[in-house]
Amino acid sequence: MACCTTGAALLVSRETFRIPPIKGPKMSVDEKMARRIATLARIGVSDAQLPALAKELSAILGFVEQLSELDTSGVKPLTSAVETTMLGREDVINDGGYPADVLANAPERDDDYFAVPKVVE
Amino acid sequence: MSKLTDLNLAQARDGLRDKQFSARELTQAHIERVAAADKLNAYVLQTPEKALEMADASDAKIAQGEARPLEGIPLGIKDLFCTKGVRTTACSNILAEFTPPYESTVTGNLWADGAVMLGKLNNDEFAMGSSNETSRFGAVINPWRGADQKPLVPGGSSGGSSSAVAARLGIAATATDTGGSIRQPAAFTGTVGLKPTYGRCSRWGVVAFASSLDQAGPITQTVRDAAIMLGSMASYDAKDSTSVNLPVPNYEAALTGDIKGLRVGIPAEYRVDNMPSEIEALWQQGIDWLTQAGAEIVDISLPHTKYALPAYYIIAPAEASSNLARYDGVRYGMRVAGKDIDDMYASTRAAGFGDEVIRRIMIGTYALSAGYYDAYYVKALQVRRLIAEDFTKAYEKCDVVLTPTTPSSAFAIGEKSDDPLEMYLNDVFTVTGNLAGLPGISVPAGVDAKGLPLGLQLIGKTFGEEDLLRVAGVLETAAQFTARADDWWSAE
Amino acid sequence: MTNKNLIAGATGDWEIVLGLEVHAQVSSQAKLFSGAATEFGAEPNTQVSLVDAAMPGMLPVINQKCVEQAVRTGLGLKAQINNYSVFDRKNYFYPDLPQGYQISQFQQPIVGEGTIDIDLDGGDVKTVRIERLHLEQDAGKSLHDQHPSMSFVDLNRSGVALMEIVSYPDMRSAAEAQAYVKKLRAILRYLGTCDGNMEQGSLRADVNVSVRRPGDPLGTRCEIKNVNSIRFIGQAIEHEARRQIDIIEDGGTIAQETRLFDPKNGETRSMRSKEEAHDYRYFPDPDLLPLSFSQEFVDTIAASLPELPDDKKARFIADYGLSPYDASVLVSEGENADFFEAAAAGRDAKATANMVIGSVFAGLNKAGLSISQSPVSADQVGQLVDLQSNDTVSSRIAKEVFELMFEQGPDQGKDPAVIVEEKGLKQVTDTGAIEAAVDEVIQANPDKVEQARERPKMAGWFVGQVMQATGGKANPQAVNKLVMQKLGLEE
Repeated sequence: MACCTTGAALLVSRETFRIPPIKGPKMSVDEKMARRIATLARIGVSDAQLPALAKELSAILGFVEQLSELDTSGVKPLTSAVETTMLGREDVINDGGYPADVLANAPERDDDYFAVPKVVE
Repeated sequence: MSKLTDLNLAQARDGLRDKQFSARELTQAHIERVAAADKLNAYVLQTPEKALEMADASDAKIAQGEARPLEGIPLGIKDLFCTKGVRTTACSNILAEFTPPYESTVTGNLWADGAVMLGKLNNDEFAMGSSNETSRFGAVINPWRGADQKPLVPGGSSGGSSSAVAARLGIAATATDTGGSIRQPAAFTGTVGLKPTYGRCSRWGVVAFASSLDQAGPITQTVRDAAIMLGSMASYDAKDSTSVNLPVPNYEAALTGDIKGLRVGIPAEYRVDNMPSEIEALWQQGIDWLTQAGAEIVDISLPHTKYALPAYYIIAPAEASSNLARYDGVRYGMRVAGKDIDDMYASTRAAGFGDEVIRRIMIGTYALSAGYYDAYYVKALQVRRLIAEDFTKAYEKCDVVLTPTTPSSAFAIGEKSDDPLEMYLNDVFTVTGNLAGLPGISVPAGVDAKGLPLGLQLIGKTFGEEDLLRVAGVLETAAQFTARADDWWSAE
Repeated sequence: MTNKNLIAGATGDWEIVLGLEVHAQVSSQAKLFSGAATEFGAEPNTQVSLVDAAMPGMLPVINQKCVEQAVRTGLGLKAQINNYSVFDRKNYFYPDLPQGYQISQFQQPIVGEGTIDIDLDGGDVKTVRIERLHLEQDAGKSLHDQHPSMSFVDLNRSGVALMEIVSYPDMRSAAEAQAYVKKLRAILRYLGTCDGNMEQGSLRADVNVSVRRPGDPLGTRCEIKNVNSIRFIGQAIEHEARRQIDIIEDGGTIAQETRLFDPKNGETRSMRSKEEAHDYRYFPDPDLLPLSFSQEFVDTIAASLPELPDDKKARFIADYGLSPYDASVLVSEGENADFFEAAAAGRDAKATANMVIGSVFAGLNKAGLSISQSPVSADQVGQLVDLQSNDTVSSRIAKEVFELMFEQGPDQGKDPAVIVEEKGLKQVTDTGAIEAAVDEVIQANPDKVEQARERPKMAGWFVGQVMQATGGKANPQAVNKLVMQKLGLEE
């Protein structure tokens, strides 16, 4: 059995990895931006929650900010680790026809329709 | 402890074939052990009747001499895999009592090979986390604990899987890995965790976190068990456009124990500042073991390593923000009434998602939004290419890469849950493999001063699982990791 | 130079600038990314796969036929085909958008720039530039009028393949926009890539409308969503342009917005649900790989393209000597053109075109039938043209015979010669018989004879009387000649 001899408690911290502190002066996400993101993402956030949320998001963005030190000009973005070509399906009908399964987990339905609060166009 | 629950997969398989015990007996023993393990909170749903039914079917197959590769082997299934007619929630409130009318390809492959389902395993909500503390069903407890007896995390997101395998609540378990969610929990629990090459296991029917990074794999007791499990889990699947059409090799046959002349790369950049000395020492131990086994040690450079975590924390949340848009309260899962449709969405999603999931959706939404897309998302994808190219260059000089799996052993429940960034650091050694799509395995290699397990990680070439498993087998043999967590948690 | 397209406002002339985004449903059996059926009119949620309902863990797999159809369409629009394109996610929330995003193509579409020549009144042709064509998923259908406080969602359409065909803002009048849609629809139908059925929503247009003073830069545009008939496109444009002119002339400015056309009152109105600023957060769909295909794949499709409307029209003019107008009418639908060609084979093409346009199309139009339902076959039309050409019947009798054939119904019973025979409609060319009839009329009307000698135009009355007396069967030229002779009015 391998044995690691040092007795010191493991300490992995922000300093170990040179992570900027959260309480920095820079707030890349202010409350207005936090509100806008929440609206885009359709996540209900009360006004009282906004300051903390903005702070958290700013901290994470502060962390990813390190990327900007790298010069990536001319580097093609890598969207997938798979480098093969996409194979298609034949144009045949081999799915569908089971409305009961499609609707089985619906929170609310009316006959074979999903039902939602009325949408005004 | 019942003897049948001491068996690893290979032993159980051989015992069943030799009719030393029946699948029903094996399954029953595990059902009882699971039922007595509530303290660990590893299972979120137990399916004992289904398990016995499947075990009986396996006994019939064995009696007819038609045993399949996993005939009668009782497994736990991470709750991220959709299981037909069995509640699947990704451990999120937003999925409520969602019961899929379909079976994921991976679990379908397991059942087709004769495996038995014991139930659904806990995980971090939508697989977002490194401690299994974000589950709607509460935290999973690591069966391992230090002298202070404080409850420790089992790692995450596949904490239910790692805890269950470590405590023998199943002979093996399925898991998924987006940034380290198989390997890190395996390292924290003294188990083996294998993340295959992206595209090796179908993602069809696995609740998506980050589509370009998610990959299913096993958590097992041994490297051989991982090879056996992967052989059944892996397949080309025409229903997953990112699945790769390559034959599935006999992984078990790759475990020859012979790594003479194989080149093992040691990346300089993984020697992070102030690396805990125990980790450093373990890593050196691993190098020594492999050298003794005849491998050639090669110094390599993966220069963009330090940018992997920041890139990951843009790419994964960006994809997640879109993947999780389908949880809108319209077709399945939770719905909270609202005064209009947008209010219904906002209320449902605020109530249904936990804090960490909301945090990541928000970060991802921000990174993709107009004005920030190039600075964050495109930048992260460019860095992703640089990281992938680092490995391409390194693999001109070596065949596998050896690193520590994690920068620490298991930490206490609650210790890092208030600080997302501290939590994210758990993935520092594993996340590169996801970004580059490479296979990785964590092998238990020692214990620290507190007596807690530590893992070593091997990263392979694309579809280099056979080499990876062969080296992992050598590491396992050399490490002689036989320590077990005691059964303090058992209600028996 | 005067521009007939300008609209007079209170303060001077205005020019309308129009660009169209047409959504054309790809003709395919199955959906773009799933194996569920695309057929119109099924029971709610019956043509829905787990992928279309965006169940957790479901993944898209592209239908190769839809790719082929997009390439075919691109070739028909003489457009750049991109052998490498990318599917992106367009993120927004709507109850009939199950994934919370639409899979579309944003930065790298499958088809790039092309052109369409549109046919305008008076035979004029104008070239409209196409900016791009991309593949995308359709959304489901929301029903808002079934319940006082709920909307109902049917996902049958969810995931059906659409081609979005985007034009440059090259059109300057409602008539041009209508001609554009007609021509695009004809091309799609010729290609077999979209059935063009606007009532069923297979073809719908988003119309971008702005106005400006002639020569000025482009004005602020409004987008009128989902207009689903050619007539409504015209009405929507006319109304929207007038609305914008009125606002500007009253000292206001146009707000860029999305509007909806209401056919009930012929007006456009602002769409509240679209008022919120959009941020679609496009990014490449990580569930799909880039779409790539070989030049050989494109070449194979190119080799199988049918003759398209413009080429056919040119050929009709050159080979059959038809007028540009007649040729345009005949080629507007491939089946119509085929009908004409079958009828005209080996005979007078101009006379055939006249009969096809004047009798066949008119008759079908009146009866509400399509060309494939025509009670009179192309061959029968040809036979009738022959009877007219060899003077067996006059053009008037030919019309009568056609009507009799048409009324026979769809069994396409009797050939025209049989009807002529049975009804005794054969043209009288026997000069003796005609002469006798002329004499009879002259003798019975001495007063009219006197008048006709004063006013030669009265001769027409005698011709009419003779035609009536012979039941229309007398050869009109022969009758005319004899009447003139007998009245001593020879030219």
